[in-house]
Amino acid sequence: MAVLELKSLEMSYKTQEGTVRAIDGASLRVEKGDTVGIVGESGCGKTSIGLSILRLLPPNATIHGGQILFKGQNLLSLSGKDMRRIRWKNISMIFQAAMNALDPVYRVGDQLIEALVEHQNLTKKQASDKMEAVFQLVGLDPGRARNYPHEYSGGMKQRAIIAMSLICDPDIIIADEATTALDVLVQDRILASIEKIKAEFSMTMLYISHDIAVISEVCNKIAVMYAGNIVEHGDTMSLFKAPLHPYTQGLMHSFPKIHGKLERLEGIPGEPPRLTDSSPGCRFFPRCQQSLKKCNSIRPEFKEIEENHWVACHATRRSL
Amino acid sequence: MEMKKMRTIVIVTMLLCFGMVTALVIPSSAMAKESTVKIGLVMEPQTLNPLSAESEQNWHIIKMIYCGGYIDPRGLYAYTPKSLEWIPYMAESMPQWLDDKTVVVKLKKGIKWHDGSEFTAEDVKFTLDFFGEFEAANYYNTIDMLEKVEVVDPYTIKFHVKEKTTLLYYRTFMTLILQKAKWSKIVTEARKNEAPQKYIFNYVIKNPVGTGPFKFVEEKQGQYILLEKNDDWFLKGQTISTGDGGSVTYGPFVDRILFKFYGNLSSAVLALKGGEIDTIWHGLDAAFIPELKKVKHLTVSTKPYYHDVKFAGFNLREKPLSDKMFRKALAYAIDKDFLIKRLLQGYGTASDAIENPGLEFWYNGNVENYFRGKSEASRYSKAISILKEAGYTWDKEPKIEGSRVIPGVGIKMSDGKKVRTIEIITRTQATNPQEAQSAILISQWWKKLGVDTKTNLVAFPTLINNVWWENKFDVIVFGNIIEPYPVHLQYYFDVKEIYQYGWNVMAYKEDRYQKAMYDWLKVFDWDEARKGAFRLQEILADDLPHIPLFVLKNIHAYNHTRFKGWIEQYNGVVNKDSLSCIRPVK
Amino acid sequence: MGYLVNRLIMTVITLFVILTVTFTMFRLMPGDPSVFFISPQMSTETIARIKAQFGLDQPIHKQFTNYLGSILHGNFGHSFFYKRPVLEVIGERLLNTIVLFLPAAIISYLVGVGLGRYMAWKRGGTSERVLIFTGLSFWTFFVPWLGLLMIWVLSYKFGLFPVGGMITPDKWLPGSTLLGRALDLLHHLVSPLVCYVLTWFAGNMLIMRNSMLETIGEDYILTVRAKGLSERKIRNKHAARNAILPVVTAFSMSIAYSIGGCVLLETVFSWPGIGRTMVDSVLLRDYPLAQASFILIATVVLVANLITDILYAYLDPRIRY
Repeated sequence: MAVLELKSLEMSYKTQEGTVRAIDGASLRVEKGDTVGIVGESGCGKTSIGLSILRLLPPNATIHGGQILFKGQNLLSLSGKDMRRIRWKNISMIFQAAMNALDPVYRVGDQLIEALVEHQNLTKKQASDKMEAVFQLVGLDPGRARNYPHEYSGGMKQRAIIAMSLICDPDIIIADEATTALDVLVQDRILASIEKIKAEFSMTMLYISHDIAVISEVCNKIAVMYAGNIVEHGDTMSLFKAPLHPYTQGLMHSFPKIHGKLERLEGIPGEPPRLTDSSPGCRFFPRCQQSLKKCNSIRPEFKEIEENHWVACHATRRSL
Repeated sequence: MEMKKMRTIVIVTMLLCFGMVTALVIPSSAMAKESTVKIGLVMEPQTLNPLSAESEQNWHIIKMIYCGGYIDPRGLYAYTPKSLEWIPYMAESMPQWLDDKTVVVKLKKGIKWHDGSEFTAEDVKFTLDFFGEFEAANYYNTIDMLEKVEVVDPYTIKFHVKEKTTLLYYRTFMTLILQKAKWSKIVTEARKNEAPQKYIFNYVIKNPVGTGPFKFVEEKQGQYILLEKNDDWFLKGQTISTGDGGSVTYGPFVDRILFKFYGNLSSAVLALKGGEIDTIWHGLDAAFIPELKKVKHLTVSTKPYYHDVKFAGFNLREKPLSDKMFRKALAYAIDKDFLIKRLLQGYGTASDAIENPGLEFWYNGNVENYFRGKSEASRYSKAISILKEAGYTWDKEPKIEGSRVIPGVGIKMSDGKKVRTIEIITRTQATNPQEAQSAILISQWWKKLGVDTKTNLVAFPTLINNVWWENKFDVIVFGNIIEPYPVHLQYYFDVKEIYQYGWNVMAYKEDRYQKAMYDWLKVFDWDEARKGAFRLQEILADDLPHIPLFVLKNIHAYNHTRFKGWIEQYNGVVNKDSLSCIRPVK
Repeated sequence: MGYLVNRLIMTVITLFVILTVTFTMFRLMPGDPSVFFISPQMSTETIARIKAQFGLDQPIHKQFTNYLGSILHGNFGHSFFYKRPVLEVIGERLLNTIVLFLPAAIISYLVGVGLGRYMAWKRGGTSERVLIFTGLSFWTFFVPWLGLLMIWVLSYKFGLFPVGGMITPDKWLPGSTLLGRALDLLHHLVSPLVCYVLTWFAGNMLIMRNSMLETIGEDYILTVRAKGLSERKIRNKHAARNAILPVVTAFSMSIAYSIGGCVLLETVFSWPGIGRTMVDSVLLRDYPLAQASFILIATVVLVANLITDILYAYLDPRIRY
């Protein structure tokens, strides 16, 4: 059984300009020990997926379709209280804006312990020991646990947040742009320690990033996201070798040129669609060079075309 | 942490409610059984030292403890409660004049100070010598006509005076007497001090000892003062003729008086209506009368206020105000009836003479009244004709068209010089609303005559400084203190009072008045004195150093379901005699 | 430490400036307090002699140095109006004022902060609109008017509370119990306290609400929510804890502002506090009392600022002096 499975998840935000269909049918599987990367351009809905899983969406967002299965249990049908129990204990998160993710008025160590005592019945000593252990794990001096966030450098903060995400031994960690705000050198070091921890504990992770280079380095599986849809999902190797979806192909094509921010794809002409538009066809249709007639009117199904390789495209004809 | 905070708030709120309820339920101790008159004061008293106490609220308390004084004319002699004739008080009989410079006073025997010691001639001599030595401001006039005070025996005093005048009765014979035993220690200390007057002035009297109907119990600064009855009071149980056919029997019949201080009149009135206090010793605004009359347990009493006659006084040192004709014209322009009706809502009486119309014996209602009650057109046409006759001219002359007055502009004196702006100085609206508003109205009326007039509302010390000390003013709107015997006819208008700090700030110095006034001071016959006072009022109404305006009604209200036997006097129903005579309603 | 010394020096300088300004200000106004102890009938010589005893004959700069000298000896002089030592006049009244205003300020602060927190959390609801409207209505109410209305309704119509004052003398006579006295005091305290809280809570409430709304959008709030903390803990332990910082500053400011309100409140509820005494002392040119009062206010404001700074440093670890 998959640790985490999304089944045609649909989520939208109500804004003044209209309903933004931020996730428009996204399916995904994360097996135990997997590190699945979600890659896509800014604003494609990657972060919304992370927030949807933990049900931390802002008040103007609604999930109106699909399922989020955690070990077979649909998180969307849980009560608020039950959901709270799952957070951090089973699913923890490493946030995008690491600089601000720690509360400035509490000591860093205490913030880690806070998560721990919320979910586990530990003595002060036990909690403190555990905190020190994860500090060491991520390469932080436990002596700095008594410091306040403003006394940390950016890299240290990010390490502290990673430590915090580990502290309850969660079943899965969602890392959302875990290293993006850091400079390249620090980023590499942190990625290295993530790799190390992952290997040591066979961690299950969902790694969200727009940086395809990082994703390819860290993940064994990749989900490609475009305009609220997951268009292709499969092994890193097969995706790189033989991308099936025209968007993925474009992405891979441009890969050698870009190492870092994936703001705009040079390999694919045109712009991503506005998410307020609700055309019935394929979202990628306006930019697709392989489009068929029906692409404009019928949304392609997300099909398992090879084993563990899913694609949503009418043009892909390969079968099992 | 935050939940705890919320809990704390809830607990505090509950405690407060609990406190409220229990405080209502807890029976009040001893005092409930005894009779306590609860009197609200609107200003808190500052001091119980009779040498430095100057405001009314101080004297309300001091006069219940002592006999006599600056606002309580009841010392060796006093006035009958209603007809206001002189009668012996702590003296045994009327003074005996040995010659024009010597007078002997015999004291009642058995008068006791609150500490039990006896009141004697030594106390009287000590007090007057003390006032002389220390030049106490409040008592300065009690000693300035004395040569020497001599103790003949413990109950007999001989006064050597500069001349035989009625002033001596009002000033010296009614002054407050201090206890020699207590004060001689203070005086000894003061003499040693480098600033003796300051020492006396700032001396804090913590436990006053007097000969009055009530004894001091305790004071809580800013909150209350408690007095208890003096069963050894020398008038206790005595019945005295009020002078108008009736009589009163002195108590005190109540156990205690509690003076409670309120921050403002409105709250005190609510406390009175709610039964928290029995009366308020403070003139109430006319606006309160309708609501007070609706309250069943209250009686509202209105009497003309004895304490001051409001007036507009002129600085006669400079032109054009030194011109009598000019002043007369200004007098015609004033509509006193309007002031009474609109400003005082009817709770006042217009005054034509410098005397309280409520003191019928002394008030001369037949003096010149400058067309009071006549139409605006007739008053102004008279004023204009007087001014024209006296040689005044205008840039634009005021005119009467039908019943309307067309205002004039730029009045000029007979020598062609422009009359400069006339300034009316008075206390601020907050201190004395009637004076301030009168001043503003009067300036409007005078402007119609083409006289450029403005008002200047100032703080009290500034007023004293500008008017009394520097004599830099044109017109002052103020109140003249009126005593039961019309001594103000002397001290507001005596030429001797013109010098720098004198009372006669207007610098009024008509010979005919000075002569008539000095003759009058030597008259001891009651009816002759009245004739003299009438004549003096006539001269003043003609010379117009002051234009008298009105007296306020002194509105008092009291709870008749708790105490009975209140005595209406010239100074309202709440007074020393009332408090010495009222009994609890059983 | 260096900060404290610095702060202390600043405080002393500020006090000196205030002292100088008030001293000269009162003496520039025409009229002096000798109106209380001089009779118009006295001779010029007598008047001069008496004025000399009160030190009013000396040139202003001499009066000033004399005054400074005696203040350093802890002697604030005698009140001209009350005829007693200034400290004696101020002492008890100040205590009375504190008895009323400290709890009132704290409660209005807690109520304001509590409601602001609640409003921000439930933003957009009817309760928010109702609270803002009520808060602002009371905020703009004229204090004496509200006070009299409260006295009229609570004390007169329903007889729940005394009309004014701080104690009922009957209940404080010898023989009364401490509990009885305390309850009586509480009974008198309720109306003015509620009046104060009603008029002042809105300020704290709105500041707290805005500050809280800003804080709620911060990333660390998302973090703690992801950590599975309950809404109450997120709101109180994290959001409110961060949002309170600007409100702390506002608190010391409101102490300075509420001195004005204190005068009105004490007048309406006949509370024997320092406020009215101060106003009267200025009106009557009671220099010693007025000066001491100004020094007192200045000290209160400066101390409140100092406490705020210290509190701020305690609450916000990013700030260290």
